[in-house]
This record gives sequence, C-alpha cells and structure tokens, in this order.
Amino acid sequence: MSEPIQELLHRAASTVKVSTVLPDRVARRSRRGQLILSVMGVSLVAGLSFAATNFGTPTVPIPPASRPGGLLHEGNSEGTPWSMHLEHALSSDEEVCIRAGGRSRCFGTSGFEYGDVTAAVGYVEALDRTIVIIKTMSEAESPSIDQEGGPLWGGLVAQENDPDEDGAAFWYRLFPAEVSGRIEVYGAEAPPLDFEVKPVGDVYKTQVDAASGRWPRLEGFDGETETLGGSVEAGGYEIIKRTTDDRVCFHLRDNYTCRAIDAVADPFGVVAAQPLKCAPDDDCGRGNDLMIVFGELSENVVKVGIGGPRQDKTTGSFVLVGPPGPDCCFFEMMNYYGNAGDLIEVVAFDAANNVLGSIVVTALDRQ
Amino acid sequence: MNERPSRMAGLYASHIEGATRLAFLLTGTRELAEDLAQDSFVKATSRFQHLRSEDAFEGYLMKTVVNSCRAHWRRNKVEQTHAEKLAREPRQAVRQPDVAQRLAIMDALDALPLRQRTAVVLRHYNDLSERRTADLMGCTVGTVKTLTSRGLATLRERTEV
Repeated sequence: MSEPIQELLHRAASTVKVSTVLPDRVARRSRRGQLILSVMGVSLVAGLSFAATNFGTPTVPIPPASRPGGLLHEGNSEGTPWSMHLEHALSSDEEVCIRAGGRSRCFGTSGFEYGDVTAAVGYVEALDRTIVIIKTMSEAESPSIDQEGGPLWGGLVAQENDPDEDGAAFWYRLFPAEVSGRIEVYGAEAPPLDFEVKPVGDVYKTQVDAASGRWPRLEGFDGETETLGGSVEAGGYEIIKRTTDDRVCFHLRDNYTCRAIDAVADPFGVVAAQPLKCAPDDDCGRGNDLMIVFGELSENVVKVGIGGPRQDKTTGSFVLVGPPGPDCCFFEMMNYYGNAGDLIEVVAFDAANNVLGSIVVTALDRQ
Repeated sequence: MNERPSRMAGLYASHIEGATRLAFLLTGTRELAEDLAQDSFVKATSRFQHLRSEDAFEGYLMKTVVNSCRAHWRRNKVEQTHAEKLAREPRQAVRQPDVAQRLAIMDALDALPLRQRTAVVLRHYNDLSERRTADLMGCTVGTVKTLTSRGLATLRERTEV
C-alpha cells in the first residue's frame, strides 16, 4: 500500500545529484548555520593525515620545519580565532594543541583526528558555560563534598544546539546528587571566569549574621579548622585557619562555593548510575549532544575516557587539557551518539594507562 | 598518508550520496542536505576507530545524518517556522506531471512534524525495519509505528496517493 509513497520518495531523492569524489575541503556548518571550518582542509594544510585507526597504523606527518611551540595553522571558527601548534606534553611526547579563547586543548600526534579541531574550538565555549553552571549551583543542587557526601566529580550533558537562537542552553546533570532536571543558562549573561585556589593554612574571618544572629556556615570548611582569635561582642567574629585539604573555589558575584582537591579514585566508588532525564521536547536520543565531565583531579590522573557499553556508540578517550591539579579542574567533552537506555562510563587513567577508577555515570531515561 | 585518504575516498564515494539524499528528504533543501551530509560524514569518520567493523559505518553515518537534521531543526527555529509557512503555502504548480509530483511529495513532507517525517523516510525510503528505525531515532518500535502511520496518512492525504 505504501509503495507509491516509496516511489515518490525515491523519485524526489533522485533529483539530488551528489559528487562522490572526496573533496579537498569539506564544508561544515556551524551551530549557527554558518560555514565555519574546513576540517579536512585544515588537516591537509597542516600536514596532518587522517588518523582513524581503522585505516591502519596512524601516522601524522608534521611539516619537517615544525618545532615544538611552532604554529602549524590558524583560523577562525564562529568568530573564535584559533591556532594549532606543535607542543610538548608533560611526558615530552609531541602533541598537536589547538589554542582558542585563551585555552588550549591538546591531542597526541598519533591520535589526532581532523574532527578534533572543531571539537577543540567548541570546547572553549562549552567549558565557559560549564563553569557558569558550576558556579551557580546552589547547595541544594550540588551537595558539599565533605559536609554532605556529594561527589568530587560532576558532569553535564548539554543540548548544544539550543543556545544559538535564543541564548538558552539546556543542561542535564549526570551524577546522582545533580540529577534535578533541566536548568537554563544564558550564555550572553555569562559572568567572567573567577577561580580561586585556597591552600591549606588559608585564614578566614567569619562574622555573626546581624539579621539571624547566627554564625554563617563557611563553604569549604569541614570542621577541621583552627580558631586563631575573634570577638564575642555584638557582631562578633572569628578568625579561622583551615588545616585540612586545599580547596578550589568558584566565585559568582557575591557567592562562592568551594570543593576539595582530592584523589579521584575514591569518589568514583561512591557514585552510582542514575537516570538522566530527557528534555520535554526531546525524543531522548542524545546524538550530537555535548557532554562535559569535570572534577578535581589527582596528579596521577592524566587521561579520562568516556564511553558506553557498545563500542560503536562511544567516543573513546581524551587527554586532559592541561596538567592535573588545582588549576585544571575541568576537562573534556564528547559527542555521544547514544540511545535511551545506554549507559555512559567514565574512566580515569594514569600515565601508564592503568585504570584508576571508573563509574557508570548515568543511563538515559524517558520522562 | 596515501592509503588512508584513499580508503576515506572510498567511504565517501560509497556513502555520501545516500547520506545526502536522506538529509534532503529530512530537510527539503538541497544545499542544506549537502552541508549536513558532509558534516555528518566528517563526524562519523572522526569516530571511525570506535566502530567494530567497517560495515557499521553506514548505519553510524545514517544515524549521524538523522541526528544532524534533528539538531538543525531544533536550533533553527526561525527556519523551521519558515518551513512550516512554506508547507502551508504549496510550491508553485509546475506543468510537468513528474516534477509536480516530486514537489507535492516534498510539500507533503514539509508538512510533517520532524519525527513523523524521519520515521516515514527511514521506513519507506531507506527501507529500514521498524526495529532499526527505532534504534536510529532513539525511540521504541511502538513509537515508530505510530509516527509512521500518522505520517503516511498525512502524506497520502496531501499527495492523494
């Protein structure tokens, strides 16, 4: 009965004539529908070959004159200037690094993929958005790690396409304490990044709240502190020195929240799979969505992989953006091609590719 | 560097036409379809090493095309509104019957909600099973049946097939 429809569809489709010759430059549409970047062209201009491993042993011929630190190529994506450099990783291996928006994302030369250029540039925007979200998380949304047993790691899945027209992005939290539905962030109003690392021994002053008459709770303090002095008079105050872990604090206007910098393996153990809700107007497939996992990393974590149980649905692993430690608290994103019901796994590796820990982050679920 | 681009060219030659036509039926715009298909090809090949076998590439690319088209509509509400307006204002009549018929089917496709359109195209153009269609669309077989049934009803009504 449907054959006529089938015929009509085939007839309509047959009007599209397509050259089957692989072009030197493949036009890619940006998220704003603009022509942004010819990834293949970039790869070729930069002297980088296709590196999908199924095509054989990856080789990335770097131009002979290139030296670490040298510029390989530069361009502009959606108004974001970027440049590609050959650099040395901490391990002294050579890396191809994409610099954009004051950040850098690096790839091993042997594993470099031409799609990584776009991903690296997109990373800049995504990371900034993520930071805004983290900084705006209320305590109820993201329990304090020490005081309420919340996870050290966080994660978000973004519907990356929505912000383009109206400025709104839709993010879904990955981890148990964070699964609270959709939140909206308006990129245009994103405040500037404001990190602060508070080392052990940092001194704080806390003061009685005039309205409530109560002592406010200081973020980042878990009781292991030392009182240095204070006053018990009206509006009394207390000088406190923290004696335990370093903290990383995220500031947003007058508010801030702090998280401990701790080893990554333990937090992996306390996080369990939770459903990730679909958007009301989404059919729950997460193709092309952007995933960002962030966390405070131990120094021996050099790489984090994200994937799913079905290998043909995963994206593999990514190297860190920068050296682990308090200055590198956010990392990686991926395009996840998955279906409702798929599980997503996050794995942390050390330099020898040993698995330090892994968690099943979430399962996609229908509302 | 020689072998890989050669195999890449082979993949491109084998799949780009099908990907572009699928994108065309899902978007109704040739230029957009070409862009989305090429974009999907780049995405799919960049993740090629994670596929178990080369045979899986076609399905992976098809899914990427479907997702790209969906993403396009989702992020281009203005264009979508425009498309809906176009759907309400049928394309200009053309004298040649076959051309008119092709335009009619495209008009009718434009009138379908994207998910119905996707289900109909995957089932009746790509000739996929309900199970496979459900897999590509990230929904249940039951949903595919419903979407296809409603979509076909609308198409038949509008094309008088």
